[in-house]
Amino acid sequence: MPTRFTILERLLSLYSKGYRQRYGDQILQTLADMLDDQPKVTGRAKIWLKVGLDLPISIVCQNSLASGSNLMNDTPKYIKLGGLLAGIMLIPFSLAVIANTLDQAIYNETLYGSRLWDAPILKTWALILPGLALFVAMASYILYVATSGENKWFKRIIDLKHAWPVILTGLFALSVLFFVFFHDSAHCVTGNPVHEIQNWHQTWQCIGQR
Amino acid sequence: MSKKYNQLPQVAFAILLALSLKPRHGYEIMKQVAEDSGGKIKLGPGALYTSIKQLNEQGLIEEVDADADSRRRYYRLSGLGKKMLGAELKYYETTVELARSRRVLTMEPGYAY
Repeated sequence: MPTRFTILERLLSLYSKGYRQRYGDQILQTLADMLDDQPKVTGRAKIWLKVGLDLPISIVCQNSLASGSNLMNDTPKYIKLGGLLAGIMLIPFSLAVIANTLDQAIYNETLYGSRLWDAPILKTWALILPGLALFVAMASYILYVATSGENKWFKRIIDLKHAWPVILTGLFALSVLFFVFFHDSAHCVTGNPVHEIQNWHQTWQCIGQR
Repeated sequence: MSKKYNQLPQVAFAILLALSLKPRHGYEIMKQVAEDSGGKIKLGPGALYTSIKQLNEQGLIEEVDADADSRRRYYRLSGLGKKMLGAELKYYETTVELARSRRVLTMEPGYAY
């Protein structure tokens, strides 16, 4: 294929391997046919513009379908269940952040003055649920790696294709916990996040009092 | 009318219709779809092969045996594809007849009652 398709070939590499092997050459040939059929420079420019919009959308769709297919067919049930459970446990935190942001935007409340901060459920959404989500995601992931066959454990550690539900939710839960512990509201006792975690009981009480 | 007779998305229907006369390769399908739809459906290569893959997986079209080295692969309707296209056309035919009998087609645009 001529060098005019070099960029396109790179773009095609973003498709899943199976799809690329089956349809990659056909896509390039179709584009070559389109360009050969268009003698005008402006017409060719329009074709490139169209392909520039069409291919990225197609790549996203195709990869989503492939991920969905992998998830439905090849991914162990406990990974799906672990990812789902962890995801559900992170919903309250996400909703609370959104609600708190709205509260700040509408009533100009600070984090400490907001209604959410006073709610007794705060500790649950802020720490317990993300902590549980992280535990569930990590447990599923460790189980997935541990149940691999001989010498395949490293392959499973980096197997994003199948383990992405628990990796994604686990990373999100971890970032939530980091956010909570490093947020100034958590620096009640010593101001040092590491010491705060070490003295978690006092920190916990302090956050509750704020 | 059974539900399965109206399940083809617009692009899938257009591709099946384009393949109803003879086997075609990707660019021919694109041109035929544009022509059949009066230029309303213009597929890019990405969208085209996404649909071709789906139709192939659903068993509605099949690849014609061709030279393995050729970058142009020809596709044709499968038996199931012909059946689905026929059912879909029958559905549209019935719908258009119904619309004619109600004189909907001769109404002014936007006229509903």
